[in-house]
Amino acid sequence: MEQLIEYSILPLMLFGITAIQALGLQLILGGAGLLSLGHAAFYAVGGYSAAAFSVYAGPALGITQPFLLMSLSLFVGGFSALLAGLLVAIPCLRLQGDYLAMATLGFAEILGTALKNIESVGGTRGFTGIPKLSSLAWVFATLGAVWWALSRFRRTGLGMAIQATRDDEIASRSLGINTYSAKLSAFVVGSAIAGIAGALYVHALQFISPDEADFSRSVIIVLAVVIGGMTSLFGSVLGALILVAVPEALRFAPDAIREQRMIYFALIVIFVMLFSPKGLQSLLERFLPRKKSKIAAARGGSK
Amino acid sequence: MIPLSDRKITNVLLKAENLTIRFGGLVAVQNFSLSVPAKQIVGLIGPNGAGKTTVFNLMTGVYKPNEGSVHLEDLELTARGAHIIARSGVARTFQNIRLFAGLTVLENVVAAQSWHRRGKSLASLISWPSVVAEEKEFLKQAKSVLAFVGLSDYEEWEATSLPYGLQRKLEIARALMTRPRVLLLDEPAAGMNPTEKDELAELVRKICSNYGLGVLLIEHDMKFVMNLCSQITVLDHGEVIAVGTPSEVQKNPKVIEAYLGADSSSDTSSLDLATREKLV
Ligand SMILES: Nc1ncnc2c1ncn2[C@@H]1O[C@H](COP(=O)(O)OP(=O)(O)O)[C@@H](O)[C@H]1O
Ligand SMILES: [Mg+2]
Repeated sequence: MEQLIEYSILPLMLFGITAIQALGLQLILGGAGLLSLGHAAFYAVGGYSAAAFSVYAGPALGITQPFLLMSLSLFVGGFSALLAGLLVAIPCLRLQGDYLAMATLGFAEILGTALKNIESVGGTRGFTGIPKLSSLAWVFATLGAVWWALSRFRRTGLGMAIQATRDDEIASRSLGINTYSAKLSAFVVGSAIAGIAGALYVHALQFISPDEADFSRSVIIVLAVVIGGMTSLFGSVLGALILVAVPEALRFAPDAIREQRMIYFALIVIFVMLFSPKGLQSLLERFLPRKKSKIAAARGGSK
Repeated sequence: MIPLSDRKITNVLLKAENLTIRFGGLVAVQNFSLSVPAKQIVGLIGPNGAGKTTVFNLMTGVYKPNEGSVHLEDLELTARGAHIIARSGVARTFQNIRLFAGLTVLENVVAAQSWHRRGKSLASLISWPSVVAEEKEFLKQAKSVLAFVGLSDYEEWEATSLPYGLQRKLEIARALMTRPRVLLLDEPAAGMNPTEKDELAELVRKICSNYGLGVLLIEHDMKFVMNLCSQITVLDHGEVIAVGTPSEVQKNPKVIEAYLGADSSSDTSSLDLATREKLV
């Protein structure tokens, strides 16, 4: 029993961390309609910065109390990813056209190469010796807080401006919405959330390598959001669950099958696109009468 | 005693002067001038492709003019960002309806005042009582604007699932939510049946008198325009060919020619454009 608990803690943590990343990307992709192909790079920025903070800066400043160190690491992770997000997005969003996908992709490449060449954070071997400050409780408390804050954020002025900008930029501007800052805010807040997830990750596994910035990691998060349903927070968490559960379920399968996980994800995406283009979340809604959309109810009522 | 001309000038809200825009070789609008006074409905008419929508786009910052200027009273709006112009008090609707498809009817209207409370959005995340109160206040305003245009029963509908005529009204509600001083309506009656058109005319009159707005109206339905507008500007091939009261414009030979084509007889007698238009 104890073994089972021990064994399931890591996947659960990974699920929680992936879910936080997916929530961040949901704001960018579903909320603002922007495509980021480098979400994992911002996650890595957060992870490396948070690790550097708790390994070098924290002790130098005399901060050793674990709770305080972890709290500050989360802040450092989120804030550094936010700054990186600003750096990448400002030039792209100033231009007309969809340069953001390419720029985020390029950023991930550059970051990966740079990290491999910085010896103080481990170079190609990866950053080791990070204190274990994170826990299942930290991960799920953060997941809960991020989820709550984002659900609240949607209804704020800025949240509404972001959704309006996604739906129609010209109309948004004609109503006084600064579409540039709406898109920029969505992108940097989403990236900052990825950075927070990175901070949780490094202090759970006590390790991070430049591979975490890799394009394939970013694709997985995009898949989580698309599979779960771009328009809802719940959908993104559901997507994260699937993306973490599938490889876990295949853990004891023969190597030949296990290594094809991208193929399984592709099959899931095709299935979702065929049967529920709005994501699995909307498929679930069909079976949950309680969640039947208010819209449908209103439509029935006023006819 | 103030001379009449001076009184007119102080009354003017929105003023376009000598606007010109070229797209490549095409001069879409040339030397266009027009004034919209407070509490008046001004019409902008002309055949398809005359440049009417382009004039709206120039006035609202969607396009930058090559020449000319736009002022809201003393405030220069020329070449400003579209959102700045909107915040200054110029709101509009679109010929090809542009609602927020992912939002409900109520949310469409709420989004239109999001920038009034933008700076406070971090605070509203934590739900400070004052911020919650403000949010409630804005929601109340959005609901009252929806009630004003007659959309109260549809608050929770998906915006784009509304019938066509109601979508046009929702665009008006959304524009009003920005608390404009001038409202530009681009073919608001297009696709409406006669009853809906009458309701709309009544609504536009109310907007003008209740809110004290200046309204600039593009519309193809001549009866609608002639009944509502105090002044009409006629555009053809990007140039103003006539300005005047509805009856003056109706009699203008250039206008008749523009609407009936160059081959029509030089009939200079009074013309009922409402019936003639159907021939075109
Ligand atoms: N962005 C643009 N690029 C090129 N041509 C344009 C553009 N916008 C408008 N035009 C041209 O300007 C002319 C006037 O169009 P428009 O203002 O839509 O006419 P109206 O609203 O009076 O029917 C048309 O010939 C149209 O093709
Ligand atoms: Mg037009």
